[in-house]
Amino acid sequence: MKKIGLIILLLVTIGLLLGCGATTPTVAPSTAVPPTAAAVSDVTLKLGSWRPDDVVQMTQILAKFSEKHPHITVSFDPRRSLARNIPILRLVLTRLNRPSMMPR
Amino acid sequence: MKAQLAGGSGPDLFYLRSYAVSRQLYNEGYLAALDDVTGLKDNFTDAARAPWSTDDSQAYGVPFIAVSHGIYYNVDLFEKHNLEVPKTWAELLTVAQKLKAANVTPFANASGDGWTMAELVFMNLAPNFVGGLEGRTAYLNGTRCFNDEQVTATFQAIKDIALYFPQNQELLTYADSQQLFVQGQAAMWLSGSWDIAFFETQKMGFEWSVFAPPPPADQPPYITFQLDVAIGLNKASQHQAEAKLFLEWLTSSDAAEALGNQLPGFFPMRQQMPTLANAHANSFLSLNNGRGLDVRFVWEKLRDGQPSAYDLVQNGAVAVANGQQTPQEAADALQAGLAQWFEPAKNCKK
Repeated sequence: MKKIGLIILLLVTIGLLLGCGATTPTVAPSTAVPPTAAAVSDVTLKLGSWRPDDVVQMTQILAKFSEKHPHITVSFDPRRSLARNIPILRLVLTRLNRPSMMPR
Repeated sequence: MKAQLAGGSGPDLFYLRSYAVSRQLYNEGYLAALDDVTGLKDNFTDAARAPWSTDDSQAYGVPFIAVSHGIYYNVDLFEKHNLEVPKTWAELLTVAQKLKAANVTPFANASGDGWTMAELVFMNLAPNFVGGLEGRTAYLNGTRCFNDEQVTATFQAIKDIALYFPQNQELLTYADSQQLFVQGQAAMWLSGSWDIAFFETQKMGFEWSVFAPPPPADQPPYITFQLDVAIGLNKASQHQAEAKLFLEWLTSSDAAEALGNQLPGFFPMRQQMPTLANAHANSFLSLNNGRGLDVRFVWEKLRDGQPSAYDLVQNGAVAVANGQQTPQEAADALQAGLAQWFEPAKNCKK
């Protein structure tokens, strides 16, 4: 029970951290996620890129990885605007799993 | 654009440019350290890891995509005019001269798009003239000045070949040059490996291949193997363990083959090069064998201030190609521009 309580506390902390303002870097400690969680549930990882031209080919490449690790899907998510712009990169990297706050 | 970005959620894994941009993101705490990714140290050379590592070799990216520079050529035209692939710079100029005498445009290159003169010409040729990675390092630590014999010789090489560019080359763009080569009107095209994918969509009615830019006689050969993209791990990802499994896979021969075969002309950086199914991609990548590899001359550090060495090289290459500057003047302008902000250039020993 104590362990579960600790995990909940950590998750709440992450939630609070991620809920901070858009321009503040909010970085969760990498140790917060128990690695054993991987074995029991399917996970989708998002791969950011600035090369929309490669969607078809990258999907094939990433499928090769999932053949080896069936519980993990890597989804290719390219946006041309991300090529070199540090402020936008910062913004995007801190937007992890946050609900949309602005209209699309 | 911000609204669009805010509409989605951030990535767990992320493409990383080489050198300064990614280093800044790592220093600011956005990227995870990757020293525990199995296979990263064993399968990549120090040089291949360096663009995504700190000065004390802490890695924060797994090398993913490189592109090469070389000289595409029309094999049929070479055969028709009894020409061999040149092994020295002088031989290349002789080939160009013979083609011109036979009313064939030797090179498709042009200066209408300035960036092509910087990336496709200057940075394609530079490693052979400055002496590859070792030579380039001497500029970065100030033991050479940017207007020395070697840089001047690189600009001279541009002057040498510009004589054999198409008519009205100052007006022609990158796409115009590609078309001159695709239509068989120009025999050679200094460019990058990514053009393979484009050429294969064209119905080219002739055999084509690629050779490495030849060095001056008696000089060792180098090739520009541009370490372009790594993949990093967002420190805020909630799937660190799974993301590291992916990065570990990225160091494998399976991943290297998948990349090289799916995206011909985009090359893996793995030390053990795969044999690629695409014949053109395989010939291009094979040019690495027996040659020293280095990134584009200005990529590391030299674009991190103003004026950027990229712009200075571009301006010089265009001016030399058009007879508006001598090779020495172009090299002097590069040295003077960098001396405004790059400490080693201020204090360099000529």
